[in-house]
Amino acid sequence: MVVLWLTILSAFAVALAVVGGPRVSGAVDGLVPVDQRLAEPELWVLLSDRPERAGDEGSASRPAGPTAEGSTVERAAIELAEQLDALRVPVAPPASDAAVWLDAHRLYLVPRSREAALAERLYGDAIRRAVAGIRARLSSPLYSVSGEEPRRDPLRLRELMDERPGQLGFMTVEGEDEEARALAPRITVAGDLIAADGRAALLRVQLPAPADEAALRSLEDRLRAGLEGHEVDFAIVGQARREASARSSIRARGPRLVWTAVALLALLLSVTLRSVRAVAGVLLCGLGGVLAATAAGRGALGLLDIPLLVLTLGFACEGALHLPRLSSRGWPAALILATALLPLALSPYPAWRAWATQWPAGVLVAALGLRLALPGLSRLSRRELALWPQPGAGFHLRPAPALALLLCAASLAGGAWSLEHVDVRGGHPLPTADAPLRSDERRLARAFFDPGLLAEVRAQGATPVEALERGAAQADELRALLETAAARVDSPALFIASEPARSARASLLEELGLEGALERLEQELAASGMRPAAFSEFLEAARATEVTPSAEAALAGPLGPWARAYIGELPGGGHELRARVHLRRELVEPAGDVNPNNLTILSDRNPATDDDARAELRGPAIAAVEDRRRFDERLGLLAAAGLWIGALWVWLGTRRLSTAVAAAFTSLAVQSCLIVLLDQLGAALGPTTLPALLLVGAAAMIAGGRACQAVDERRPFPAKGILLTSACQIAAGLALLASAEPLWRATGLAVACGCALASGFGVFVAPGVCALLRRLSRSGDLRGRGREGRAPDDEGARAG
Amino acid sequence: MSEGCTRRRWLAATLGASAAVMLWRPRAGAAPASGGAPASRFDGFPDKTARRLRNRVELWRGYAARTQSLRARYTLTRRTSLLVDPLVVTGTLVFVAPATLVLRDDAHVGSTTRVVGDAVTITPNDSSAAARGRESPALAWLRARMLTLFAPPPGDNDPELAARALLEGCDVSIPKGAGMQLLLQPRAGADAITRALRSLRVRLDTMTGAVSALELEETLGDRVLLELGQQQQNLDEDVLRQLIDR
Repeated sequence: MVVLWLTILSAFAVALAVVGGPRVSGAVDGLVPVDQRLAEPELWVLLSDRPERAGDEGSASRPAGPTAEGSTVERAAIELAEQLDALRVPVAPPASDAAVWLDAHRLYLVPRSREAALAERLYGDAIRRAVAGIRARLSSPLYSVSGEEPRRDPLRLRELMDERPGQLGFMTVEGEDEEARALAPRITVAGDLIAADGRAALLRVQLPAPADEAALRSLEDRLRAGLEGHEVDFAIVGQARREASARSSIRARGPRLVWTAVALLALLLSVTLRSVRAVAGVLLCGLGGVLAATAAGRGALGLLDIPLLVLTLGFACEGALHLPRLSSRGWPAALILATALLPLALSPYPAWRAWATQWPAGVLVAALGLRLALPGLSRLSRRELALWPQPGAGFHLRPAPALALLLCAASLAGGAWSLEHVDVRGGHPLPTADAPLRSDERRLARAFFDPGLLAEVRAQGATPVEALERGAAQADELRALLETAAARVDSPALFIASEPARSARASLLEELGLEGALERLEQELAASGMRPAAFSEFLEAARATEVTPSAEAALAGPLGPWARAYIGELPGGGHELRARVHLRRELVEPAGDVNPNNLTILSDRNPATDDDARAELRGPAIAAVEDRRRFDERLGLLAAAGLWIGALWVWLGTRRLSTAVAAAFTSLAVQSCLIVLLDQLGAALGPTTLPALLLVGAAAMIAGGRACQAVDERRPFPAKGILLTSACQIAAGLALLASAEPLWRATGLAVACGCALASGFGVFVAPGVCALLRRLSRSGDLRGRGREGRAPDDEGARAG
Repeated sequence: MSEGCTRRRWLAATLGASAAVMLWRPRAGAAPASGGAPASRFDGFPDKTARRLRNRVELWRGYAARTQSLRARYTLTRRTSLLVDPLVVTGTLVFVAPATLVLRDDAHVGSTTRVVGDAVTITPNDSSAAARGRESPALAWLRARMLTLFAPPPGDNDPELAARALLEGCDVSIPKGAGMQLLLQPRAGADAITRALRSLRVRLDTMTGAVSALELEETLGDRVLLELGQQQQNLDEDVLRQLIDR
């Protein structure tokens, strides 16, 4: 058996070596379903004025709104943009290029809802009034800086563009609220963003894959070199930075956490077993379980994996202290524990679905070591390891049905009530202890936008042109999102018109007599003393009806470099346009009332087949919204699966249905009570706490089953057993609670509190529920025959 | 008393008063109790230029400090590539401290420009579509210059504060030509402004210090000359209301 266990352990070690050994991946998107991940996680460079300059006289007098002069940050951003070269991707279309494009294609880009107004502007009297208006306004000394550009837009067609702010990404539109416009970021000549107060700039970079630590360090070096001589600070914000921060945290805190857990467990086991060899043996088996769990996860260690590895150690070591057992050999408890996280396979979270197999591997390897290898070693060495302390003084449990019923009812009711009120947080972004990272993300959100609120809408095509055309077909629906779910829609598809729209507009312009209208315009300009040649930019663009705002023209023109940043290649061939949608904050706030129709319904009509395909909003923010909406549904499903599996093992071990059902009730009551406790402590629930809830449920299932079995077999329940059956689990939870990572602390809190509750409920609730169930069963079906083939005697169960 | 004696007494009195002023003014500009001497707005200029700048600012300040409201007649001439001939209009300018400026053309085919605080609207007099000024660094700069030129200086008539207010956001110089003139340009590096505006030349009445002309040079080549005359300060409220609300 020793050889068998060592062989199994070696196999896991080899498997781990083959995949390159344990490596700190720092993955932070383990709780984002794969189909909700952004195709290319974005990386931002945030430039900001140095804090000491904030006290300068010049900056103190700097006005709010558009800066009165090119700021230090803006100059630094422009220079840095040149130096970053291919690494840099424009955030927005360069201001002048976008203005030229829009002015050249204004007649095609006026939305359908404003076609009547467009027709009015092309009639004779309207043209005369427009020209008279230009001449009248020219008499103002402020005319040239008022924003009007008569050379490009004499008929003021800009006013006909849809007035919804945010419909052209970061470009401001006519009719936008002045206050909102004053607070909106500006676009630089290179297509980067400057904050409204001029004190921050934002650039977007794209690192060559993989965006690992070396690439990030190289980027930092280039930024430092590029900003030399400028009094600005830089910060990198994005998933790559979060992963780097997670890796640093794991490397800095992970080993300390593991050693703390080992030390606590060693202390606990020493007090119990009072044998150095026994303690060492148990810990080795536990660490073997950790190795197996790591190998089953292909060696990747992310922020979500560390707490579960520590809990593997704690829960596995508890298997060495199994007093009393559910069966003579004690396998039910090991199987309940091993399958505790199996329900996570039903969840949509990739990290948890991996742990649905990692956890059983770790626990089973540890259990095999404790049950088979150590006793075998003991026999080989002819030395008793004394793994199972002699039964000490104990007491006979008295089932208290009334108390059990009361506690169960109170817990279940409290849990149901708390689920309605508890703060449910989505699985993204994961909480972090990195204060500078949080500060940088807050500054980015304040000055520009929150990258955590970004979602995507995708349109596919065989070529980039086709993908952009397909995106243009979604334009109306994308704009409609601004009424409900979105604060801003950012896509090159909104700068073009789809082929059907272009054809329809060309027909309309011909019907309206565009050529005649342009001739009348020239005549009116001449009659008013103006030079028609000065308006040639508008007249030539309007007459060039063959040049339309098509996808091909956009990609070939000055908007091309910006537009191409939104188009990616698909692994199987083809291209995909990824329009970005900035969601409204109230959609993703915990108290936000979300209408699912605001998020998911978009139509993507395939022009080739005329099929109506669905194109959905997707992104970590959407996943977080779904987490909040469906958390209780998912929790219910996973908890029910866990209860069913655990009850099955209890029933198979004890052959008593009443024991199995009582243990399941106890487990449910403990989970409910834990939810109430976490709500009262102000802790948030969410996908991050699902494993803790399932593990606590399993611990309660085991504790409840043991207590019922002790009553049925009329064995005294040792006081030491009560304290120690959950002590190792609590110790692992406490080790996590002492760490600095908020995610680990939250898991530790849930496990420590939950396992303590499990221990108590196991003693005081499970036997009572079992007795109540048996009383309710008149035929005695629920009593079962037990392992010895005898029905438990009700009187005997109350003896002691 | 002989005429020569009277003249000598006048000269002595004038010299004495000038000496007193020269001795007093540096103390008035001395460091406040809390710290060292503040830098002057004219630091960095050669002494002669600084003196000439100071004189012009003083001349301006003397008139502006007394202005709570102002009415003036103007002639605006715009030379632009949009027009075959220069555009010449006349109208009435009304200013009410601290930040209301209205320029109303006489002609029905002209327009009325209203600046109220940060808001700028240009409305054709024939009631066709008004244009609201879209906020930009260039608009903010020019609006601030025009309001500041007519408004009473801040800071209880302190010369240094007045100079800073007048010249904020500007590089200032004295252009060639006769008369009391200032050339205000956007600060070096203010690309967002220099894309639209090159300079604003301010001509002051040598006797009163009133702004007699503004000449705006735009980057696209347009030149705007705003000549002011028949200036009246501090009108009745009723008259002001009529002028502004018309």
